[in-house]
Amino acid sequence: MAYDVLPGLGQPVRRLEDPRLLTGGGRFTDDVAAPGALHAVFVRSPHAHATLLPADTTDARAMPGVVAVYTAVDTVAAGLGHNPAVVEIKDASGRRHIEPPRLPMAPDKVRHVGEVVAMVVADTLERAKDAAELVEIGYEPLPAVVTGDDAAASGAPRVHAAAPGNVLCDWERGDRAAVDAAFARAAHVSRVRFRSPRILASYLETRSALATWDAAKDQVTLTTPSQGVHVLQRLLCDNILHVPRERLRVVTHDVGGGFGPRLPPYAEQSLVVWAALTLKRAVRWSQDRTEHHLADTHARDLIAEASLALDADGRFLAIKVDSIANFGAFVSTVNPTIPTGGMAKVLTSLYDIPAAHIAMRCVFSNTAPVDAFRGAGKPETLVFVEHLVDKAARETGRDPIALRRLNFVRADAFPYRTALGYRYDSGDFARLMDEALRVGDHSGFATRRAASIARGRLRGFGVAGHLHGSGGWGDETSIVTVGADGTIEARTGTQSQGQGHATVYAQVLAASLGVPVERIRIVQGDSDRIPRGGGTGGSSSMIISGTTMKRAADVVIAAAKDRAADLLEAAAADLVYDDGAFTIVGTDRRIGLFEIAARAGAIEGRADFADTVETWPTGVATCEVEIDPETGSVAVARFDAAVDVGTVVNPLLLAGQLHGGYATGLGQALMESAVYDRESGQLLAATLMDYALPRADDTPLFGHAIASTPSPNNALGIKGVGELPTNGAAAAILNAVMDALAPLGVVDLQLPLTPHRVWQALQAARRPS
Amino acid sequence: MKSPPLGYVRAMDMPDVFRLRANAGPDARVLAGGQSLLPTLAFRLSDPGTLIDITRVDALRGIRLVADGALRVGALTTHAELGRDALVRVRVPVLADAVGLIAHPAIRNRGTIGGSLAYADPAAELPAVCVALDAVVIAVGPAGERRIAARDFLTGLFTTALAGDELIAAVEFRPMPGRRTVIHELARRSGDYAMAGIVLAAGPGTPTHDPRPVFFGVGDRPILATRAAACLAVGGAAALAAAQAALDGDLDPPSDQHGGPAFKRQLARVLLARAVNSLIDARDAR
Repeated sequence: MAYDVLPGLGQPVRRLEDPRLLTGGGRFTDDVAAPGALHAVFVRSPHAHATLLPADTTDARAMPGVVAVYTAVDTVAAGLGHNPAVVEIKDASGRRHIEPPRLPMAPDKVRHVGEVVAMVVADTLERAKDAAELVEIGYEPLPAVVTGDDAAASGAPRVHAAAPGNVLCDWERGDRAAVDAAFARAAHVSRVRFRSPRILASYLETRSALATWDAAKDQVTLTTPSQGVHVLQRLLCDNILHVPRERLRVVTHDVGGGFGPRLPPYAEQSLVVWAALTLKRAVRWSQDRTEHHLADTHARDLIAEASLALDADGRFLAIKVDSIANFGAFVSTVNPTIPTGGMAKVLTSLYDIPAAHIAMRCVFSNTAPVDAFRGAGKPETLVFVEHLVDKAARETGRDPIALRRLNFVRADAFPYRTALGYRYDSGDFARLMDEALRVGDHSGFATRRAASIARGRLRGFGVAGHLHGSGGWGDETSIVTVGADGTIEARTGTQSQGQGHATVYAQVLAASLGVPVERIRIVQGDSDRIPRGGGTGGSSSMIISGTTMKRAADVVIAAAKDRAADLLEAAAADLVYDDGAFTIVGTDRRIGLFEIAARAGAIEGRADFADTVETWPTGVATCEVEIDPETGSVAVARFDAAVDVGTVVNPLLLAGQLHGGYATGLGQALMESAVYDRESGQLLAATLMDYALPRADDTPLFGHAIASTPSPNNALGIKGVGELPTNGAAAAILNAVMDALAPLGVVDLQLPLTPHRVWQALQAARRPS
Repeated sequence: MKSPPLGYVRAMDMPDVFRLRANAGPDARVLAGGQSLLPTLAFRLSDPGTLIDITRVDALRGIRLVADGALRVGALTTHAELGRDALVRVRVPVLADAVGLIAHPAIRNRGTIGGSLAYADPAAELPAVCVALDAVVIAVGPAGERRIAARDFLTGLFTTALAGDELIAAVEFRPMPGRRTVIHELARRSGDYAMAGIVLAAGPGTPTHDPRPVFFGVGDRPILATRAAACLAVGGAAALAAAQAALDGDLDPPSDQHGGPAFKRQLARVLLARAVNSLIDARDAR
């Protein structure tokens, strides 16, 4: 069993990074001193769609302290290039998605509010801001389109000349004929129409970039919060700036949240580096909150019509989806595979559905580009899939829990190949349901509902199956060095954004080498010191770095063995390694790993990632809501889940990941909506006054039970857990709300479940038709 | 600093305030708690040229009883001070109750009652409390003091009866023996501006005696619902339902990010019932 591979794992070690972070020792990009650095401020388009006229920067340049004012004229002359997607999708005829140029500053047109149109560089931030107000950009406004269905409609304003009908790809997956045949013989078909609101990342630390110039090396160092320095370095150097990678070192220190939108390279980073290269001086920029709302990638903007076919016994026969994915104004770094592959991975949820088909029209609109955010295509999919399952249960008079049990992939069916071609690695969904109902105290619900009703409130209980298919790039080389000073340094190409890599990686190494975790230091985020890395994304860092560090630790032990033999004057074959030391078999003569390093020099072990990135963590979430029927306000009274996360490395960090993910899903379900005005194309949620994030008192105490099956896909049996909770939370909340409202005649509800929307639905249901 | 370039001067007493204001010109703004003004500067939505800091002017501070038994609350009294003041707790407890609904502790520590009234956000709590209690706003200008009833002071969306050279010196709450007042609001999240709110004063005696329901967040200023009040005053089993129905004539709520007019009216009906019931509950509990 994989559980036994590293017996030391699974301890509730408190986060090693917390004493430093909690006592002010954090080092975020804005904490890095750069005496004499110039400050950059970006001028952004106030229009959703406009033709650009020649800019006049004369007055801005004349302001005191201004060193440079750049517009697209300058960046085009300098040859700054396209910020490309690194993944691709193809339509049924094999044609790659349409990817119009995405330059740091667009020369001809602006395509969303907040797009960069000029950069002002001055000796102080205030002077840069003052000068930015004097940059004269001429615009000829054009009609704008902001929603996916409006963009796909005939006669819609065209965002890119290269994309007729605003379509960048008509994407399909699955067997349409098999699905049609299943629907033709179905005893019942349930349908939902779903619009997923667009949401923002809202990391605590907004984006920033500091580019410092080293004249001696003719090198710029870009310090910036990221999800991995190597992807940034590659795209900035190879595609956008066209400079050799040796001329750009990319460094990431502490990061205040990533969630996906911290992965792509953005215009500001390339422009700050370019300005430093051009001016041969340090340049820095730090984003304000509204810039985050306007110009970082958004997520989840999806419209779907989905249908589920059941036979007379309630078995699922097929599922199909007709969908529009709003990509925003450009194709962002990994988005081609987010709404598409993200949906395909989880469309069949935990169920044995023999046939499935997705038709997805991917469209451009005059909105900020959309890309991966925690869950990456899966939370919105699971909302409508799990809603659909509940709806089918209601429409056919079945219990939603029993219907799920009937259709679960059976525990003896793994590895299980889904109708859309994915291979679920392991699981026991019946047990997950048992544990979920236990931890969610399903049996006590009736009593709690009666109490709510007595107080004039409605109460609903919802369940949602959910899962994740971990992804990401296993371009990992882990380097573990036992130093002569009694410490171990481990270098890795994944990047913590706050989730505790320094602790869990140290636990893997401590378990592998038999040394205390306190001796281990994790080094990340430096393209000069770390040879390669795919960064962090797709819930796979523990899989990628954890398994590779285990391999590197084995290399260390092998390398240390000969030296130990020399030092002990024994034959290597007679040595065993245990508990941090080599012992001569049958004697009490031993030498510790650190002593070997102290006497014979540092010991290095390197390994490349050699497992499979993909794993399938799963869960069943339960949620109870209380609804005030007079005001439509929804309170989440309970939220619990049973999860299969494979091998648990640290139960404290696991709980933290789960809680954060549930809170994220709760925000998406109840309040978050980055909505654009349909006429003007203005973002109506430009500040945190207009974009509601959940607060502590909006969230219940989260509970969870672990019902794991180890993944056979990697040496440690780990499954990636970061996104799993987000994928199921909104679905469980919607199902709980619908459980309370359906008896009153409410048939469908859209997210977010604002008081207004819930009250309106109740009003409409009460109105005699 | 994110703000546009601006001058800053600090006034030490009232003559200072008037002199500095006269010198600084019409765009200059008075700085008290800064909880609304400073964000507009950070977004560069306003460009006042000069800020005149009045926070050191003692004449604008303090909570005390004045000659006719009224409670005089200085304009610079912060929400936090209001919330913990013993005299307020005894004389005008609803002010302290209201503080618990205003934003978050950090904002309550800086924001002032004078600032809240002068800003005149229609969703703010304190202006509605002032209208419900028939408080008097004391405006002071170079020519002296002027007493303005709160309902006349709040003239519209973010607008007041203050003249260009005046500022708020204090708010006075006259004694109302036996009268009780409750505040309720429905907000999306704790600390948010209310989707809708009510301050209901009534008594002495039964909640049907001279009821004064004032709504906030449903119009361009706090709205005294006179038709609903008349229905409540009738008393009897049908009074509440009649008052709720009468709100349709009292309120003409605009749409905002929380919902449309029909939803706002519904919230107002719910709030009226909850406020009336809590007055009855409070009486029963005594």
